[in-house]
Parts: sequence; structure tokens; C-alpha cells
Amino acid sequence: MKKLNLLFTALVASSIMGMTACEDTTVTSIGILQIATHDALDACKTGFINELAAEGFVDGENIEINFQNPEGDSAVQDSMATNLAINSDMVFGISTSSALALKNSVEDLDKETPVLFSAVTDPISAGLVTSFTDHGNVVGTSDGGPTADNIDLFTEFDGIDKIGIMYNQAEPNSIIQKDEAQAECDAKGITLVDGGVTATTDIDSTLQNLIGQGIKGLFIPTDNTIAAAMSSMKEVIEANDIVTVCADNLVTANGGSLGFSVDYEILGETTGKMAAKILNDEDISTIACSKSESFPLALRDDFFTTTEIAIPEAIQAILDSQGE
Amino acid sequence: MNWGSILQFLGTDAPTQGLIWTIFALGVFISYRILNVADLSVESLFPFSAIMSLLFVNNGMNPILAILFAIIIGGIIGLVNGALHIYLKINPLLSGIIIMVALYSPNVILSKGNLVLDSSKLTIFTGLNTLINNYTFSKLLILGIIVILIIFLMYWFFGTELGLSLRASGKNENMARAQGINTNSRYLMGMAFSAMFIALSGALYGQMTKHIAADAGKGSIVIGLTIVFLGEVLLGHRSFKLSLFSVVLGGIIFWLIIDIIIQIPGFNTNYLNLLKGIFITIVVVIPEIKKLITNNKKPKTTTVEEK
Repeated sequence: MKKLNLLFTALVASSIMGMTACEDTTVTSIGILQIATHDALDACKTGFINELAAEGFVDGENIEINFQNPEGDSAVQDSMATNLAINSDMVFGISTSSALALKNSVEDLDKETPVLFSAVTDPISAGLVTSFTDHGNVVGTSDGGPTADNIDLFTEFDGIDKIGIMYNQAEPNSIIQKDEAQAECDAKGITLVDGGVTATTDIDSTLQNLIGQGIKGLFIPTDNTIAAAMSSMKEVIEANDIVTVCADNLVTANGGSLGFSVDYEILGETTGKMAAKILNDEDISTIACSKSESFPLALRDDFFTTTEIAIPEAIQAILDSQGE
Repeated sequence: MNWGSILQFLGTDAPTQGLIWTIFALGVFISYRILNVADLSVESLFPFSAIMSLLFVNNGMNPILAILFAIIIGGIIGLVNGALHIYLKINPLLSGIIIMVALYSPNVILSKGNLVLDSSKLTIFTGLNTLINNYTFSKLLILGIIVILIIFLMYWFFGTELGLSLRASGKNENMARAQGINTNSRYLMGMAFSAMFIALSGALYGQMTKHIAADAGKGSIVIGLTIVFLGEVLLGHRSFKLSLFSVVLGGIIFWLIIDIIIQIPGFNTNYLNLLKGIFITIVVVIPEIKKLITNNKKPKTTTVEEK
């Protein structure tokens, strides 16, 4: 009987929590689901919350933000998504799988809760939206990067005719960027060597393998796995004079050379603006999904001083114009 | 009575998640408790089956057939896993790891990272939903029926001569062989059964969540084992029937606990894995503590009786 009592207590406890979560009617509750802790995704969240505050929606005052992070566990993420869909007036998914989990949970509950997304490279092929303007109750920002501009950067350096690309094969966003890079390289006569990895433990050996194949440049798309390991790749990259173009400025700062990138804080702010519009009772169907409008060029000076590679004039010119 | 709204009121999807993971845990139960093998292949087999079932459905197959095919493929993978041990003499732990690592590639290639259900296609759950128009209840009904069916099938099967010989070869291989049981064939059979259960839960999970990531199986063995242990703590393993029920109870309670934890207001969910670790340790240790307490008590009572 004791065991039955325990079970009963657990049921009652969970139902009480369900009740308290349903009671708030004065403040708008916003549920944020983020697949894992990661610099770019965190910046996106910060940008979103800051922008909302700037528009007059402050956490703890007129809105209540419930942030959940399953740290990569898909099954737990589904539970969190369901809870957020039940208890929130608006949900925000950071990363493709979080956005999908939220969208499906809202649909499964037959609700019309607005679903925002960010840090999704291709929301159309991911099945989040039909097109950027036709999207039902789902709207958000894509972090599609300027892959063509980034591959162009290699042509500014002398003698880079063979480059490698490193990414996690399980990240759909990375695969899209790999295909884009392949097309760009083919068009520009650069050989692209595929350096896909399956886990963080593969990164060192894959990098050594690429260097063994004689690459002179390395392209890092916006990839969570490589991003997390970038600081450990820094020494090998510098020792071998590999010009490393990263599609993420934080990764560039951690050990890359340079690169045009999506600023995730700006991306989060853009999403925050959409959220504010919805909170101001604007019709969600009139808001269009968008990409980042500008891509700042980041450059890590240390790389160029250590390797004594000269910064090409054209790149210096872009940096100067950015500084103004 | 609107059961869907009652479940929403509970503020949790623990029952549906719990039932899916119960099927998973029953697979783990066969490999871990009956065959005495910690089979790690489930970490990749689970998302693999989900990907299979979604791919089949996306290509126009009936969702129920898609699940059946996923189960058959899962069974074959289980046989390969068993064969690695029986014919190539690879340590069972290692053979599971080999399958886990090897299956990762097809997972990535087939899913392209993240596989999404074609929105025009029906799953087994949305299919029933078109008839009864209550999604939560559809999910619970289908999963409930499947779990009850499985429990009956397992109880019946492990009571037959074949099933008993399978249990015997897991309990004591030498003894079973001495009784004239072909322990190799029983091992292969058990691994195939276990894999089929994992495949069933994966296929259902894929159709329930409508999207699956290539690495969605990360940590699934831990969930499966915890459910098995938790069930044993709750009901004990006095009889085989009770053991089966304990897995079901364990599955639902486990997800209820996870749900309660993630709903604590202001809880930093980054601590979830640490909590899970502590929780599993406690669950595994409880039976040992119980033993210690009963062992300490026994001598005292006997001395009293002797006097």
C-alpha cells in the first residue's frame, strides 16, 4: 500500500503543478526551448529577451519567460515541448529540432499558440513553414549564412586552390552549407575536401587527415559540434598556416582566421521584434520569416600575426568600411 | 468524459512517453534481465527504426505496415548483433557497441540529420485521430493496446517450453546446455526479440513526434535501464508476471518524475542529467540497502526465537 500511496502523491503533485501553471492570466507566458547550451544559441536567446525588453515586454513584469534546455536529449526535449505548448501563450524554439518539437506539440494539442523559431538554416526543407510568407502560426528567422561570400574570401589569398570543410554529418544545417560550398567551389575552380565527423572525438584525426591531403584553407560552416571544439583545433591550424574561414564570428574568435557570419544576437533581436509584433496583437500571417540582413566580417588578428600571412587589401578594405 | 483535457490538466505527456519507453524498456529487459547482456546497440537502433518508419510513411506506405517493416528490420539487426557474439566470439558488450557505431552512418545518411514527416501523410496516431478526433486519447489508446498485447504475448511466450528454455539459457548457460538446450539459438532468438521491441518503440516514437534527429537515441539505454531498475524497486521481482508489470509502472513513473522536475519553476534544466544520474544511483542502491536492513534484522529475530 505504501507504494500505491507514493504513486498517488506523485500524481497529485504533478496535477498541482499543472494547476498553478494554468492560473496566470494577467502576464503573458513565453516558453523558450533551446536544444543545448552553445555560444551562438545563447546569444540568440539573449538577443530575443533584450529586444522584447526594449519593446516594453520585461520578464517578470508583464511577461513571464520559461526557459528549458534538454542538453541534446531528444526524448526529454519532447516532454519539455509538450509542457511549454500546454502552459505558454507563445513558444520560441532555438534550433531546428526544438522548433519542430514545439510546432508538433502545439499541433497535437489542437492549439493556435504562435510558434517562433530561430537558428534554423532552412525552415522550408525542415517542414516548419511552406514558404517565408505562407507559414500559419509559425514564424521566425533563418540563420542561413553567406556561404558564397565566405568561399570568395579564399580567392583573396594567393595560391589557395584546395580547401577542406569540417562539419558534423548529423547536423542538417551543416549539410546544406556543405552542398552550397561544394557548388561555390566548383564554380570557382577550388577543390573541396570533405571532412565530415560523427562526434567530437573524430575532430583531431579528421583535421590531420585533411592537412595530410594538402589543404591550404579550411571552411567551417555554422556547426555546433565543430564550434564546441574550435579552440582545441586552433594550434594545429596555426602551425600549418591554414586559412580558416568560419561562418560564425564566435568560432572565428575561438581559433579561426576570418569569415562573414550571422550575428546570433542580431538574429535573436530580429526574432524578438516578431514576438513583440505578435504581443501587440498584430496578425501573425502578415509577418514574414526572414534571414539576417547584414553579415559582419570578423577577423582574428592573432592568426595573421602568428602565421605571418598578410591580410589581403580587399579584406582590409571591408574591415575599414565596417569600422566606420 | 474528456480524457484529453484531463491529461492536459495534469500538464504532462508522461503517460504517452512512458508507454513508448515501456516498450523500449521491455526490449532492454529481455537483453539485460533475461539474457544478461548490456546491449548498447539500442542507442542507434532506436532512432534507426524511427527513421525507417518515417521514411516508409513518407514514401506512401501504410503507417501500420511501416511499423511492421521497421520491426522486421530491427529483428534482423538483432540477429546480426547476436551472430557477432555467437559465431565471431565477440564479447556481447562489444558486439552491441559495434552495431551502435555502425548504425550511426545509415542514420545520418537516411535522415540527412533531421527527418520530418511529410505533413500530408497520416501516422498510426493521426490515422486513429481522424476517427475519434481526440489526439491525446488516440495516442494513449494505441500505445495502451500495444503494451497490453505485448505483456500478454511475452507472458505467454516465456511460459512455453521454448520461452522457458530461453530464460534458462540466460540464467545459467552451462546448466541449460546440460539439459540439452541449444543456448546459441536461444541467444540469437532473445537478441532478435529484444531488438524487435526496440524497433517497435522507435517506430512508434518517430510517428508520434513526427520528426527524428539522427542522434535521437543518445542516452536511451540509460532511460531503458532506469525504467527496469525503477520498476523492480517499486514492485520487486518475485514473479515473472510482476516483473513485466513493474517495467510498465517504471516507464510511466520515470517520465512522471522527469516531467515534474522540468516543470519546477525556475529550475535550471542544465542540471537535469546530473539529477538523472543521482536518481539512477539511488534507484539501483535501494534494493541493496533493503537487503542490508533485512540481513541486520534476521539474526536478532532468530536469537530471540532460540531463547
